[in-house]
Amino acid sequence: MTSWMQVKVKGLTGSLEVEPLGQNAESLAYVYAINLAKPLPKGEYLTILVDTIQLHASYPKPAYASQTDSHFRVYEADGLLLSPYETTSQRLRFKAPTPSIRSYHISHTLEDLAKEEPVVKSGATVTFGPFKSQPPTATKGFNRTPYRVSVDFEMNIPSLTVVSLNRSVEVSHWGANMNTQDDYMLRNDAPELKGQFSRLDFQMAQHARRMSPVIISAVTLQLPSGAQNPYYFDLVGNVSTSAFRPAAKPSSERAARLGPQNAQLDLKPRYPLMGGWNYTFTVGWDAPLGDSAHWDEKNGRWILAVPFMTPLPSTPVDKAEVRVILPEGATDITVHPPFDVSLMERSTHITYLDTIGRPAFTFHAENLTEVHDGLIYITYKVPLAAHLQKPLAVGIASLIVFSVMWTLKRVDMTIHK
Amino acid sequence: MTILKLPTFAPSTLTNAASLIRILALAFIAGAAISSRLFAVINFESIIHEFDPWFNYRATRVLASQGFTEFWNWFDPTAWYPLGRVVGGTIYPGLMATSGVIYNILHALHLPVDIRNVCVLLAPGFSGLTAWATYMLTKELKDESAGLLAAIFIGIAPGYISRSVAGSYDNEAIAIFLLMITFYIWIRALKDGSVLYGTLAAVFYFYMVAAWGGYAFITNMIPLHAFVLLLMGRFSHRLYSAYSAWYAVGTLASMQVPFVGFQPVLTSEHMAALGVFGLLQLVAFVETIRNLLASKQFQLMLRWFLIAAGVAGGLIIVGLTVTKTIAPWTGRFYSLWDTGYAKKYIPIIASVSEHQPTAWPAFFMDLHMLIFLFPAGVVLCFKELREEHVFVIIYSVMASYFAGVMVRLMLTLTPVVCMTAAIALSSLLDTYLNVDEPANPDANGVKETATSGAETPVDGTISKKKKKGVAAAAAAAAVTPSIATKAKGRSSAENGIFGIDTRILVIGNAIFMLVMFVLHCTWVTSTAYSSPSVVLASRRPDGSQNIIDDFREAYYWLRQNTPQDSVVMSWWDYGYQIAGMADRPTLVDNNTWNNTHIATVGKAMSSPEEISYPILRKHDVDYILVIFGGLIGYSGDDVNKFLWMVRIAQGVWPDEIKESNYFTPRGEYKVDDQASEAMKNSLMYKMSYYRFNDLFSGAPAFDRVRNQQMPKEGPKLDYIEEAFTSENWIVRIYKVKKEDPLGRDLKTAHAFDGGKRRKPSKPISRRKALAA
Repeated sequence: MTSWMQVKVKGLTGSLEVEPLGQNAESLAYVYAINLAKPLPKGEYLTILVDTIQLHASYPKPAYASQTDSHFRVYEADGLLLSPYETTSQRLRFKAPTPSIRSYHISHTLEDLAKEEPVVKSGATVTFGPFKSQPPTATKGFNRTPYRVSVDFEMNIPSLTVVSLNRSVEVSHWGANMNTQDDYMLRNDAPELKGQFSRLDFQMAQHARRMSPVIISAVTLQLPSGAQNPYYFDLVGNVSTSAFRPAAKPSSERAARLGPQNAQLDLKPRYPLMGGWNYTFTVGWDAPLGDSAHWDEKNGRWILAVPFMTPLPSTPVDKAEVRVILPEGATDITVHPPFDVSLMERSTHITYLDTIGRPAFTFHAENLTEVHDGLIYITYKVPLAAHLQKPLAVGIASLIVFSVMWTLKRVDMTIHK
Repeated sequence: MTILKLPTFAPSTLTNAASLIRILALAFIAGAAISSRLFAVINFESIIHEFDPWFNYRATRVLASQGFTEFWNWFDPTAWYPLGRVVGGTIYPGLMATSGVIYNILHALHLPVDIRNVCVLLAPGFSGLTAWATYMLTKELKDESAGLLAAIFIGIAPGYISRSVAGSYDNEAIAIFLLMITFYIWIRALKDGSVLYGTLAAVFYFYMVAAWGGYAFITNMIPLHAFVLLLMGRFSHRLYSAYSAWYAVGTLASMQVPFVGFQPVLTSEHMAALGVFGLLQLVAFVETIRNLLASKQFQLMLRWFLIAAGVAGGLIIVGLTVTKTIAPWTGRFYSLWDTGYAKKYIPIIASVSEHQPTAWPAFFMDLHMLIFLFPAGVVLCFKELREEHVFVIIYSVMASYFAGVMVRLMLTLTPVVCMTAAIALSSLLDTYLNVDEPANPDANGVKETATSGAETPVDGTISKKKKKGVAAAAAAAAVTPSIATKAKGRSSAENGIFGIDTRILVIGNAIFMLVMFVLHCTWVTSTAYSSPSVVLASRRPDGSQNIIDDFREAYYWLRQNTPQDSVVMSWWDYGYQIAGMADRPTLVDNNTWNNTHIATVGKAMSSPEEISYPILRKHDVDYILVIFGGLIGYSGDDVNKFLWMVRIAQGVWPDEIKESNYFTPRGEYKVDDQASEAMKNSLMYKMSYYRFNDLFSGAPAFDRVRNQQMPKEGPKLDYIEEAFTSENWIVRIYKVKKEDPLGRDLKTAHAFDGGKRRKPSKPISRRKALAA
């Protein structure tokens, strides 16, 4: 599943514009158009680099593993590039996280196309090809099945997936605070635990420090440097096993030595996450509003920058929903998400002692990775009256209550004396 | 004659200042009551405590999210699997309704407070109201100053805090407030003979009935009060109108609660109220007749009438009881009269620790100095013996008895102790803070002592002692509350205290006791009553707090990593917690309505694997959860509760389960080498100690709760397998294996998987023969 694509000209900085054209009705291939900065003169050549990120591209094999087993995954792919053009030479290079590669496989059809040695393994890298010249493959009659390649490699890093992430960001000008709260649903995508979990084996492995790397007993979130008052809870209450390491104060010596740093939140789930296990939790923190909001004096507007998400290292997010709640009475709002989100909604959010509610924007997106941690920019105006609305409302309400009590106390309601 | 010149103020200034100070004092008392209950939130977190509150919380969430009708008709298929439970008709909904109303009001005011926080803070909030209600009631008994003392006593007395700390979201949280406010309004109704107040008392009585099973206490206290007043010859039309209004409206209202239904007219517990109601009608009738007839005729008529009415009434009640129209006393009620009853006939009631008789130290722990002031206060009530004093005397007698029978009922004793102790202490303070000295000291011969004290300072200490004795006598004489003194004016008091030193001594002593009381209450509250028991705390060697969170770890694992419909079997203590935190169906829970079902679980736990397995499969059990404290020394674990499981199972299957089989021949409860065969083979024993030996890598395993060394060979499991064990091994979850697909019994299958061959037997040789 392609989650992200970036195109560059080799040797130049800055990426080229990519325009998705959707699925081609004839060849059933998804087509993208790349707009070159200037037309390429005939006879000259240009090297274009296309980076894409694919999610859930490998699967565990075997599908079940015990607590102490090392774990292997299989990556399968087309050996030939889908292309509307003729390809004179191509090869596929696969780099595994470890040199421990159990096997690799190339189909016979593809083997015959190879110019020399069809497959070469060196260290953690497996190279398929190079292959001979090919006619355009993104055509109606092309069958990809005979051209598959696969690699069976050992995985020694956790394969975690965020099944869903709900972020809610609330801005308060009175408190000069921006509160961020994330609801995570995690799943360990390592092979499912064979049999049942044995605490004894787990504790012994932990003691001997030979715990399988795919068992997740803690995750670390990199929070913005100003983050404070973090909290971590799940459906049954506070999880007491978290540790928060705030960033060094900007004025301190350590900060000068180390440069800008993130605050870190070490989260230890209630139980170690074995393969196939789920865990849901909520984390939240406060940060000074000044760190992410800027007063644009020229236009008399606030400019707010909200991170779309706080990525976990090499962990895809299947579904994300980000909700930004602006102060009550914010008007004249413009919204700029960092990438094309699948859906954007406006709603009204009512919280403590609000009278008319706050404007809120919800962004829905799927299949995100670390590269998607861009900023949502929102600009808005808050008139002075809106700032004063809440204290006035509370003041008037209390006044009414007290005057009613005062009146009742002074009215004689006895029928006869 | 005064010992101190006080500055004088205009009377209106004094009244206004006193009223302001009273309001401020009450506000501070409510603040103290609330904040002393927050230890649990500060030390741990905002969490629902213990067992029953988890159900109440779950029910409240249903009410808050789905509305009242849905809650009223809620059938919970996950409880008492496979029977299910009609929740709406089997609970007292007052608590949930209260939280639901508060929740909705807050949300209507745009205060989006989480329902959990409403539930956690409900008990502390209502304790503030209880303090106010106690103030009002004590004010009726003596005066405002006694009321304020009673309010602060009830505010921080551990006897009440034990059931109302933040997070202890149980019926008692609001019930004590309702108890006090109902009694207060009853007293007001009686004083004024007001039908309005009588009806109001009925309304609060209805609220109480909807909130707590302990409403029977009010149902019997008010009739008893009325009856005693009758016997004392104090029948009045005030009593008649107050009681009739309360009974008629209150009974009809209480029958609207589905769980109570027709009980108020059908069960023995409620007959006293009905009887007194009838009696009052008779007496009122007789009184009316007396005014109309000549005295001789009246005498004659009265005799016959009373005999006829008495006999008829008695016959009707006996007849109805015999024909079972009126239900006889329930077992729970019998256990109030005979403390050994429950142990013999209803082990399930006896197995609950809060149903045990109270130990003596508990009185001091829960009430501190109040327990000494309590009798003094009751005696002082005899001095005046107005109607409300009679009430307090009856209340104190009844509550003292019940508190002695059941630890849990300490709760109903605490308010009356606080009131009477406040009366006693306030009388003492009134006497000793009064700046007037008696006008004529010669009259009672006190002068000598006083003057000798002044003349010979060498004997100071002795004379002070003497004086103290005299002062005590004087205090006893002057206890008739200050109204008397006030009436007589400042200068002409006959009884009183001489000198300022006695005053300082006695008042200093009283203040010292009060300070000790506050310290004691704070200490008891913070150490004994503020543990959520879902989360445990221990100290690390360096003194920092270590949170042991095994329960939530295991429950959350169940919630996240097992199918939504997997049935979990555990002992009934953990039923509500599993339903609340793990959200999984359970076989039995803390609503112990079906003894047989519980006994079934007890039997499964105490039988060997091969006998338990069919029971487990028949009940669709997927997981079994046991609590095991042997590793870290958590004493409330299932092995310690095991004998109750055996006893309850024995009650239903006396032929199959025998308690004596689980003891060693010498009658000891052992889990080590000497443990009996029944013990070692029981599912509970096996699940608790499965692979426990391996943890000690060769060294003999040691159970830190029972302080016993485990046998070298640990138990083996064939029919179930370990599914999850929490970090400190407190919660262990086992998965029940499905039947073997090859049709072998699971023991053989397991042995085969373990690589053990069956001993060569005939089938093998036959196969050889075939091959040959």
